[in-house]
Amino acid sequence: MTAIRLRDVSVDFPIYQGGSRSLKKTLMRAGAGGRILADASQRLVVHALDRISLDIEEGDRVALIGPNGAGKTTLLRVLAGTYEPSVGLVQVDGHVAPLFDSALGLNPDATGYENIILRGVYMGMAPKEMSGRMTEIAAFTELGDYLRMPIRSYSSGMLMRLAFGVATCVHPEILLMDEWLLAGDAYFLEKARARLASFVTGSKILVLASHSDLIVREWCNKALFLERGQLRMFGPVEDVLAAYAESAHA
Amino acid sequence: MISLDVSERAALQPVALGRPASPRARATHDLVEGLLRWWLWGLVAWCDIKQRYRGSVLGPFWLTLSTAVMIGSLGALYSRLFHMDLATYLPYLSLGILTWGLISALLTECCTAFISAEHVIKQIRMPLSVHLYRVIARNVIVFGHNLVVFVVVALWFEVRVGWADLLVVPGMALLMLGMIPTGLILAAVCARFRDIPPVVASLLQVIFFMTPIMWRPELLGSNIDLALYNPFNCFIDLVRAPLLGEGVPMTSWAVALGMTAASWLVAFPFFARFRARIAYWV
Repeated sequence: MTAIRLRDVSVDFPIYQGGSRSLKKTLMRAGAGGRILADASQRLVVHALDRISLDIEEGDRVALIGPNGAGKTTLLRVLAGTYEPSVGLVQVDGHVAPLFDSALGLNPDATGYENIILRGVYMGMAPKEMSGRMTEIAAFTELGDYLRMPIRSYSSGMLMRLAFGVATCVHPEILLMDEWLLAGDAYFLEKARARLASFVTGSKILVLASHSDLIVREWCNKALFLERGQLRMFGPVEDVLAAYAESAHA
Repeated sequence: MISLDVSERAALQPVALGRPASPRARATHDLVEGLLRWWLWGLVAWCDIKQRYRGSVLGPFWLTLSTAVMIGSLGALYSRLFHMDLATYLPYLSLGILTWGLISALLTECCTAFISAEHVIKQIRMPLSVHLYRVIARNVIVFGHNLVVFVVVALWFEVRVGWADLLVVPGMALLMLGMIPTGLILAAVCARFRDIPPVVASLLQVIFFMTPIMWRPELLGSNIDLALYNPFNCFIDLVRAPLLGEGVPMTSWAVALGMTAASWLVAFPFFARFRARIAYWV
């Protein structure tokens, strides 16, 4: 069963800046103050996520909404498994494909074909598996002969086609997306939508961070409203959007 | 105003979540799982090398060429300074400089192993050790390129080749085994404290002159222990001595083994303690 479960998950971010980035300054301060290392209280700590508990079940297409700095990206990273929370339990059942940055793991001087393999490998596929899916991905991206060129020459929309093609071809059970998906042209968005639709009907999970009501209504059936690292509301899209709008005007 | 969150939280099903594995178990898993993904770090390291070939005919051989020039000119000068026969001095010097080049490049580049992989670390879950293995693999490939210089020198001066040369294989293996924990500490500490890489770079410069690379340990006379117990000399010996047809001194094996064990003893608990924080540091 594909599912995501969080229990009392908190993420604290120490902000390293200026002096605390420097070993010399850290040690000097220790010398002067008689401490070995900088006291935790001297550091700036941000509570990026504050005791989040939630269950996302198979077939859920969840939109993460909330003002800037609400913790959406941090939550996505916790779900992706890259940030291990300071407190709390995370259980993610299913193969996760994060799709946050279209340029991830790409080598600008390598060709489109090479980069498809490279990115697939970063996403956990063996190079041999990727070669097997090459035709499928190449057909989906519709980049044709551009795939023989270094991706340095690609536009951001073309890069996104490539990234999206690879990310969905690895048949993830859980797809995590940031808003950048919107960079595609109308025609590609239509294709992407069809692909996502078939992906979601395969009773898998989608989590999408977005600021656009339009996108949220179109792609998601549930929404999760985050504010200052706290879970304000999780439920059907319309209810949560209404609550979000109300809190924005309040 | 909005009080729905309470009722939403109450709707959570009582699911028993397994306790996460201990930090040590996860650190071990990271190191082993990372190693097993050889196709990942191998491919990325290979791409790094291909990157150097693009736009230049010689590619990494540029580095080989500059190493060759350095070895040739240093060899001509220092063989006179030290009154040594070029036929014995040049093979010694070239292997010393090549192996030192590998060690110092590894130590320098391990410092940025995690920093330069920041985007990947923040976005995709994969063993952190993968980024370290990538740096090691890349530098071993470059070392392979540079070894051409020694092959030319060896052919020119007719250095004798024998079965004992194969001792270089366990020697290289031990060098790598010692590099992993050292690189792990450097990569993690440098992610946290950004002023360390320049410190490492300037220390390496000092160490280069303190280590018998351009000079032979015997020149120290009664202070020869300074060279024999220098861990850098011992690791270089593991590669240099077998290829020169000399036996590797027992002290070199002992010190190298000891250093490797010691760095694992420090690096493993350190990595277990801080592994989860590295994503927040980069």
